[in-house]
Amino acid sequence: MTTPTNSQLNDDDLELLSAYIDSRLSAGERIALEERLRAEPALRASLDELRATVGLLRDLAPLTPPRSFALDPAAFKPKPSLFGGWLRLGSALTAVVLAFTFLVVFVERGGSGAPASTSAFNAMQQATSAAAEAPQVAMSEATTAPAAGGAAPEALAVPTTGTAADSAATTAPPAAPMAAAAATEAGAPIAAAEQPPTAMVLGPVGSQPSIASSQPESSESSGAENSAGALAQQPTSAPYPQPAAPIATSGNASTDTTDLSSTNPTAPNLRVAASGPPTGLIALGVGALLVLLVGGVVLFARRRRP
Amino acid sequence: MTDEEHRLIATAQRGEVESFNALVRLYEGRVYNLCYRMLGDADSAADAAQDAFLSAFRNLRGFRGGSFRSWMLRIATNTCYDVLRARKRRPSVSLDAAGDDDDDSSPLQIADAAETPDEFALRRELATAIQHGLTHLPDEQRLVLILSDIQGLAYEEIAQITNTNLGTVKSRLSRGRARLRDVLKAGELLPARYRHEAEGYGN
Repeated sequence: MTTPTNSQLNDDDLELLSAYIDSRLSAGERIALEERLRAEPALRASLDELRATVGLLRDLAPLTPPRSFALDPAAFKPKPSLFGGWLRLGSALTAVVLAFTFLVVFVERGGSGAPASTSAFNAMQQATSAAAEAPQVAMSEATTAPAAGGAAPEALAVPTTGTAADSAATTAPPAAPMAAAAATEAGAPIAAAEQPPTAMVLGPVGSQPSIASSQPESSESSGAENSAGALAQQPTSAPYPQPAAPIATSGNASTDTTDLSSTNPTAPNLRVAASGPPTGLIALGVGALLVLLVGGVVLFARRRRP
Repeated sequence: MTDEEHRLIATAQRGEVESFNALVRLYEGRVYNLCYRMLGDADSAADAAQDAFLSAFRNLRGFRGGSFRSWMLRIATNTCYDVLRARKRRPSVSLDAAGDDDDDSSPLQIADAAETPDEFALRRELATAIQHGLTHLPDEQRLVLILSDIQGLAYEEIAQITNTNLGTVKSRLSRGRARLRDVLKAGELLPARYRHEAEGYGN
């Protein structure tokens, strides 16, 4: 007899037979199917053919892989030197920056912090009292200020509105050298914190002092590493026409801030420069963080490679 | 999964390639066989198996417990599907060509000491016919047939590996078996002993 073709079996029966072969029918299903198998030869024949097919598949000899698929460890070396290198570099730079910061801070605080604040305060008082003095005086005083020329144009621009500058400016130069010296050495945050009166008088630019006064909290490294901070601070503390700036800003605070900040990013230092260069500190801190961030990104990118 | 496997996986997840290679040695037979049966030739199977293990190592952190075998076979399955999809986009490589290339790329069949030469030849012919039949099944049916009847896995594990449910597994399995049965019957390759048994019930 010819065995029935597949088309004589519907999908449901096929599934029943298939599950029966795998012993996956429930007791009830199995009993019902076995009854049908006894009664339907076509169903029985199909079952046998399916069993034969499954048997052939199960009897297939397993194939041996032509080679091992083990991975080459050399291809996945995580390059510990890079990770260690970046981390160490970033940590070292951060430590160096913080060290410089604190050296500057401590030196200024221990050295000329008080004198600087005193002279700056005096300068401010003179500025407010001599309200009618010619802007020319301020300009000439500003030019004599021993700071870098960069901020001088700012000081020049400010007095044009006709404010204070005058005799206050004359007292400014003396204060300037001291403030400049203190600033170049120290960098500030603590110095700035010690001069709240100065900071307050500066008006709108007071936002800078507040940043400066918050610096001490962020700079919490040991004093032994201060020299690094001092060296790092110097470039940013170079343009220090502080004497002219505080005086000039007493009357034109907003203008001053705008001019200084627009043309000379380190200019906002000036007012607080009398007490230290917090912006320089911020820049260095940001720089150190950027180094760490870049190192972290590179590390992360490399770790993803395998 | 044994404790040893747990330990190997944990170490491998930390980037230890040698631990992962111990896992590779445990599963490369299965993975290679799956790839061969799915793709039809030894070269494609070797490439796919290597890709599967590479992918597994790269994504090892994504293994969050459960059966490593199922996880590994799922990766191998996906790798095979990628190859099959790529083949369909390049119609110059026909399935028939892959399936008939048995002289160059079929795996070595080693004669069983108890086999006669005729039995060996028949077995070899059957293996070729079965692979040919498998190649002409829809991919999903072929996969389930391989996992169930060649790899011996239960419905539940197959459902996990294929990311489907039991009903789908049963349906694809039954249809796949029926289709392969038709191919073998057409080639008169259903073994005589089975045919004899089938005929016996008709009387």
